[in-house]
Amino acid sequence: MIKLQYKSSCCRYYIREHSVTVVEGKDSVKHINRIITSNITEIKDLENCKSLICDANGKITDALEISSISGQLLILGIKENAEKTRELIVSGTHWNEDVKIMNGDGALKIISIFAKNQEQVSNILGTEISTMGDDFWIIENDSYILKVKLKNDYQVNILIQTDLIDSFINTIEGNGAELCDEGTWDTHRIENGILDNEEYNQGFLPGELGLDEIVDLKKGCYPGQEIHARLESRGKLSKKIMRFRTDSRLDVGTYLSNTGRKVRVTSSLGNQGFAVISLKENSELKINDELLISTEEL
Amino acid sequence: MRKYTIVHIGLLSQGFMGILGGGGFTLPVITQAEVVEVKITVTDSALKQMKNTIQGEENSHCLVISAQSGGCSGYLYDMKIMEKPESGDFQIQEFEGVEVYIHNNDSSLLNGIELDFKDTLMGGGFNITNPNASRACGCGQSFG
Repeated sequence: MIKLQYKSSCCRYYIREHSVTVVEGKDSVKHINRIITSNITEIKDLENCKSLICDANGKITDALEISSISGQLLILGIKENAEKTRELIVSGTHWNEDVKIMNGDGALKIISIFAKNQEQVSNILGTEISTMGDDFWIIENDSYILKVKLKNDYQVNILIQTDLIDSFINTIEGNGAELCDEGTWDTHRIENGILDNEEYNQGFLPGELGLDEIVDLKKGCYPGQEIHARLESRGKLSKKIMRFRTDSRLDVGTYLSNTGRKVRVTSSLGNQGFAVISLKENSELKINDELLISTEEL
Repeated sequence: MRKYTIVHIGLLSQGFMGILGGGGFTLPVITQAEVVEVKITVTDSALKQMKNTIQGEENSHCLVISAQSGGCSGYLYDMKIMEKPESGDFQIQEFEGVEVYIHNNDSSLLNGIELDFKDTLMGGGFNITNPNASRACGCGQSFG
């Protein structure tokens, strides 16, 4: 078991920016469902679903969190991919369907609050999180709260209007939360297997990032479905994302292992991070004849 | 690829304001910007089939060809014989009395297509060749 270190005694928060798209109209679910990898036809009010958009080669082009809120779909995606994804959503609207697409970039932000202890997060929020599910938003004053299921730590995501963020931060800082830097956030996400833009934007297949559970091969056609179905039926996935550790330094980049296979480091804290590695490699492998890394599944 | 514009229409996002506590903000609505003049071609076999299908209802019905998201390659063709839409957002081409309607939103994706019909037991039916497509699905229904 790889152990990472960040100051565990306090509760941290990190502000994340996403692309924000709102889709409304009676055909909005049907329309979005044709584009994404998962099936949201049965999405319920306040439910949050993870999904992907892939290209015709089956490679990920955006990672989405889709929520149904008061009859509208709130779609959070990778900020850098906002325009491309929205073009896809707009261009695929059928002339006879009731779908309206709105750009909400900058209007909403997500604050992730995390700690080693569940009680700490509850105290910061002033709301008990142990009874919350991890699929549905809870409405609390002007914000929406979603508990995030993690391997080691406890985290909630707060969806809030950008205009209201200052007063919210004042409240949680008053309760003891500390703003964390990018390095601390990366440590948290690497320890808990949370993928981010660094992984999603590298043109990987869903299976290579361990995201098979948000790919529904029975829902019908979507871009990339043919490739995903073929991979599933023939079992030919050749590489997968792993968490690595090394005694030396291994930065983001592509390396060759001693067996001549590629090792693509997508996120790195220096001596630990995520890398996409051939499934034929052992759990310990050498790079350039000297750097020994050990790996484990997320 | 199609081009888009963002139009700020405040009142359309009222519902969204409500779910975030009534704080009050509006969201810009995204609409499609580029409309091109559509010209399509229809082969003799396709025209014959269109006439057979629509026979006697040329005055009230038309063939609507459109595109929507989905399929393996990104977009799916959709073809319907239906009552002529009243909307002025369609471009109309007439082929020996049969009218083909294409919506302005689909104009840049469908301009230049050739509509063909294959009368075979396997793989028969209408077939579209699209110069705007960089790839197409084996079944012929999807393009990208």
